[in-house]
Amino acid sequence: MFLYKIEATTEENKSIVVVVISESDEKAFSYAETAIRREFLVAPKLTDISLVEKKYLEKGKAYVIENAVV
Amino acid sequence: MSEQVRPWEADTSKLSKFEQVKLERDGLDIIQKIRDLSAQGYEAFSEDDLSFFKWAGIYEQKPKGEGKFMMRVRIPSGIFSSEQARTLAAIARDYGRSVVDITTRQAVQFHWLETEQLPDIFDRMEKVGLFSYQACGDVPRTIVGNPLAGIDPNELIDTRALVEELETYFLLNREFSNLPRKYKVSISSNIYNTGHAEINDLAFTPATKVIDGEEVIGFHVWVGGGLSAKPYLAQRLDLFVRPEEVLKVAEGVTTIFRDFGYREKRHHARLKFLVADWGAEKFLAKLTEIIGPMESLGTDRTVGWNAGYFTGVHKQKDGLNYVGLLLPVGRFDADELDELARLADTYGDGSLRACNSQNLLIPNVADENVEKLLAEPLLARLTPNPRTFIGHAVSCTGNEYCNLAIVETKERMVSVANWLDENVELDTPVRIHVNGCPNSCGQRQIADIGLQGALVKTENGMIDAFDLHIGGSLGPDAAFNQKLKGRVPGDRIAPVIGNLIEYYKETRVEGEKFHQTVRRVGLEAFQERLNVILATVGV
Ligand code: SF4
Repeated sequence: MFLYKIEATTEENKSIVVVVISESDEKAFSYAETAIRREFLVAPKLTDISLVEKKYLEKGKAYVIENAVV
Repeated sequence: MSEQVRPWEADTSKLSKFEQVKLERDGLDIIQKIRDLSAQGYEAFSEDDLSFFKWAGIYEQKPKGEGKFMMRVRIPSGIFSSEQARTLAAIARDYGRSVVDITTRQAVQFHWLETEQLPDIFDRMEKVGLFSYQACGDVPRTIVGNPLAGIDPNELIDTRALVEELETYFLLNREFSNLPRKYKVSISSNIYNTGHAEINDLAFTPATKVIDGEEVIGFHVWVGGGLSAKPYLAQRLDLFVRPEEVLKVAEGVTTIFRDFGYREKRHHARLKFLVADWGAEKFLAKLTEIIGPMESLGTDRTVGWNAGYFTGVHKQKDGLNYVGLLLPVGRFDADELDELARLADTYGDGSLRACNSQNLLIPNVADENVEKLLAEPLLARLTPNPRTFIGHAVSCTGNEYCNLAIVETKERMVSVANWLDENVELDTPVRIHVNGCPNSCGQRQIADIGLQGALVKTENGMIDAFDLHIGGSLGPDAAFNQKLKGRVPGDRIAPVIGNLIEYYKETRVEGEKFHQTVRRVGLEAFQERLNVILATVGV
């Protein structure tokens, strides 16, 4: 099992980062897309979606997302 | 390790989980445990055991959990003998499906090994003075250095004895078998920075100083460099070190790392984080406290950076020749390694040298043997006269064996370099490196053009793609490369790079290297060009 970092861009040129647990690269994409659909009232149209990093799933494993808007 | 309480042992509440485990057992104990249990197979080892395999130089290969291993072998300063080469070739042939890799730190790597085979591999290597111990793990790793040490017209002094001194001191030394994280040392006296000083935790670089009216040859000292996901260039200390003081300084710096390095989070534990927080001055003050006062800076004698490339036939300082050979992306097979050993015996003095550009060289070839060596069939593939791009291509292991890889790297690098060699005319080398993930084993940050892999989902499924980073170098104008926006599909990467190189050729001033042009005209100019290219090729 891995902790994945996935980057996506919407049609409005907005960047989204999804951190998702998955057993494979392929499923990581579909979990991430599901998470994005659930997150927004109207699911954004994605122009691209890429898997950029994976880490072994262990306590304490994390990604720091810089430039996140809070 | 001795019974005294170390600074990090006084309050263990904040130590990372793995640090807590490291308190209970010395990493080096795994070597004996592997010898004792390996006959029982993979299942005999617990998860903790497997995480300590690194101290023996062994990692689980992809897919994790199936009992296949990668092993790294220390080759200090890249120097090894034909006898050692034959031993390595035999191990690869008997156990490792014949695959042999040279790494960006002059080490050798095998793949496909199984637990049952490990004791025999340890024994065979020990017999010829080779060790995988401490090639990985939170310990002093193999010492990188000048592959031309002792024969180099461009070195101030021969560094072989110093490398040997440090290697002997740190290898299996339990005083330093529990460092906060990996620890990389470089020693070179070559004025073209063959030791890649700035990306090591501790580096010694050539320097001179007039002391009591006499010019002394020695070293400057750099600390806190390293790549991975958060790269830092090492900082120079206000220090001049005589050759006989190198061990004292190395021990002092390593002691600081051991006792004051961070142990709360593994991704924040390399020496670079301590150096970034303390700064060079505080670091030197602590070092002085430990080893006593030293001479201040002398004259830096590094004049440039050759990026570790030595292909071709070149004169040594003693009048003999060395023949630098291309090893495409650092990979060859057991038969080729055996044959190299024979060539070294036949035409040289039986020694070989590995470079941190993942290439090899045969030293000590007399004039009358050069032509005969060049006529050997092996040199058709491992050529001393490579074409420009394949001759300057570096790749990490990638998803063939690496559990963390996002994409395949070695074959991609070869095909990109070959395409560029077929389609782009260029008189100045452009160094291209590829990483299969952000961890930087392929050192993409120091490349003219650095590729970092990502998987992109398309209508036709997942495809390998790459982010481009441009303008990296080490040496006097050291700086990491910077990212261009726009992820490029793997099958388009070669023409896209080709187009960027055409832009470099149009824009450069005479004698300017790729990274120098990038820095003069700015990232934005290259970005604009890339935007046009991507729009044109429909990426
Ligand atoms: S850079 Fe990443 S993919 Fe390449 S060998 Fe290192 S960990 Fe594996």
